Amino acid sequence: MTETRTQKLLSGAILLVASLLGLGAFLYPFFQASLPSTGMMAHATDAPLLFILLLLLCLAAVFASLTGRQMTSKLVAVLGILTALSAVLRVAPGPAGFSAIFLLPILAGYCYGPTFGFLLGALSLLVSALIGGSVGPWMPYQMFATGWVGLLSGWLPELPWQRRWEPVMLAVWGWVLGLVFGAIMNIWFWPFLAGSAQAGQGWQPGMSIWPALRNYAAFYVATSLWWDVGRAGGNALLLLLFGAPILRVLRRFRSRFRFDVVPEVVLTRSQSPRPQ
Amino acid sequence: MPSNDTFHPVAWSAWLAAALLPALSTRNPFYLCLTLLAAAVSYLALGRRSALAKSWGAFVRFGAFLWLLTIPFIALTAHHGEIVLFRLPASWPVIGGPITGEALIYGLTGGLSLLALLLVFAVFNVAVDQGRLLRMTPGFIYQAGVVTAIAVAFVPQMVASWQAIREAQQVRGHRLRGVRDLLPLIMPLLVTALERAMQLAESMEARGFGGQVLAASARQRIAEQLAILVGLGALGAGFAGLGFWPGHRVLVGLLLAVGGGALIWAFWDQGRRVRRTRYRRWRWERGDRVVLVVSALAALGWLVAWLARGDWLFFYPYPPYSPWPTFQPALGLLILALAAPGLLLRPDLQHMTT
Repeated sequence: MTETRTQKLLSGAILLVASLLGLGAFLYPFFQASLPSTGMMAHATDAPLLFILLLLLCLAAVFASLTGRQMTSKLVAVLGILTALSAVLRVAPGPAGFSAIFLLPILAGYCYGPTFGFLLGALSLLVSALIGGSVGPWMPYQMFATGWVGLLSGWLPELPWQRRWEPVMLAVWGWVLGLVFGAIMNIWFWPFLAGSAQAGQGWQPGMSIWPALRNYAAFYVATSLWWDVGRAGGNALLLLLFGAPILRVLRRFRSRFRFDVVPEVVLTRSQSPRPQ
Repeated sequence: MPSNDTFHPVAWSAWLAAALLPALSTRNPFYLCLTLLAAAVSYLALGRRSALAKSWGAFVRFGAFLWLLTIPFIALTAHHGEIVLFRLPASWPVIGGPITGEALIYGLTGGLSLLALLLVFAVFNVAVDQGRLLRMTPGFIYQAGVVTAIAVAFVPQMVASWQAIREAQQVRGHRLRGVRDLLPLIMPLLVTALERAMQLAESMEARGFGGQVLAASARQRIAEQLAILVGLGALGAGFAGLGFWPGHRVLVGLLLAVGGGALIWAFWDQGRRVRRTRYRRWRWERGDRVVLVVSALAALGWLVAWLARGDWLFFYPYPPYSPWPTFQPALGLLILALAAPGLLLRPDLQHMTT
């Protein structure tokens, strides 16, 4: 195994571990059942603070790993401009939970790869929050979740011989991601709002996993399912209508920029610097 | 540089961290109300001059909505507790049963903690200079900061491009009747953006972009990545241990220390390879230093109380605990110290806000 492969492998492993920890930070309300009763109540209110801290550290670690070497000017420029465009698309009006912010992370992740998709998704949310003055406790969660949208889209299989089915596949994918995004994003504030575990929708420290999941499902259906259906439908519609032409443009520019987004590049003496 | 019109972003970041501690680590209504007071004093004194001041109102409305929603939601659906206020017919689905004082207090404090959290961030949003904040990006994520700075700088151009494309298409007879009609607007916007990215990349190259991050040997990069990986793994195990292995405090402490240490080393090692120059430095003034020191002391005091006397912060109204919150004046003073940005406002700036 060459060193480049080792570094790629390590970058992938960091992304994986950080994502798993991030997922754990999202899902902590479901795993407090095993806490011993003496410590449980004392730490019940500390948990959000600790897990936001953990999420921030994970994001910092992923950014440090993915941008740790000198990025080419083309990669920086394309990522920056597409991030700006994605942040602008977020304010496009639409019904219910519709948001066009997922359009570019899904398509760019699919076309330029999971690393690019993750960075574009996460940074789009950051820029959108900075320009809109909406930096809040939800931001690390949103950055991670939208980063995952781009990352997972990069793992979709390319359909070189079935180009006309690509928009359909991406539309279904966007619909699923729209619902999943909403379902996991609600978890961060669920413990704040819920004190009604016995009523079937709430959370309280020490709940075992199945009642917690059942209650969360009831809470989700009662509060934000219709909102997320709007988001999922909007994703599917946008990808179905605009997926193919946008992909054509992104592919054309991929060859113009001639960059291949890889986590790491090691230059040997015989190689001259070249765009990645 | 003339007198700064707000405090240094580092000072505001320290203030944010210190104010978040009570908002996130307790549901005691006394401390939460004091946090709200400190945030309001800071906003009234400093925040109104910000271009993003409108976001304060949005945060307040959203927080108040959540709070007002939470109180009846919990009071009507949680039928636990010993202080029965009144009873609704048991045959009524979900809300039928005793309505208790404990549930009312829990709803009140749950919504209050969310409101405090939102208002602390609202103050940070309107008070801090976003551009200067981005320039402070730590070395180890310097390039992510560059990408973000480019994006923030190009957002107005994207909006202007959108307007120009829309007007051009209207001249050609294009009318927006449905979603499908967005295509003639989105495609030119995307192509324009990517062309602009090409030009930007060329101008960056022309200005010598590429020398900011010193090359690392393969061994050094692998060591940094391994440290990040080990750090994340150890931190993850430590966080899990906080909840699941309360009897192994030494092991958990060791895991957290190793994880934190490995990450700090990796970040430091990566950050020191970044060469940065600054065109204009922010001048530290007395107010910046005071806000920084006060925030650091408040955060430190809160952390010490949290670790040493967790029962001071703890509040849970349901039995077997008392529904009446306790109050420690020392903790109250720590939170009130966070009103420092508002109290330190210079007279000339105070005049500007009125």
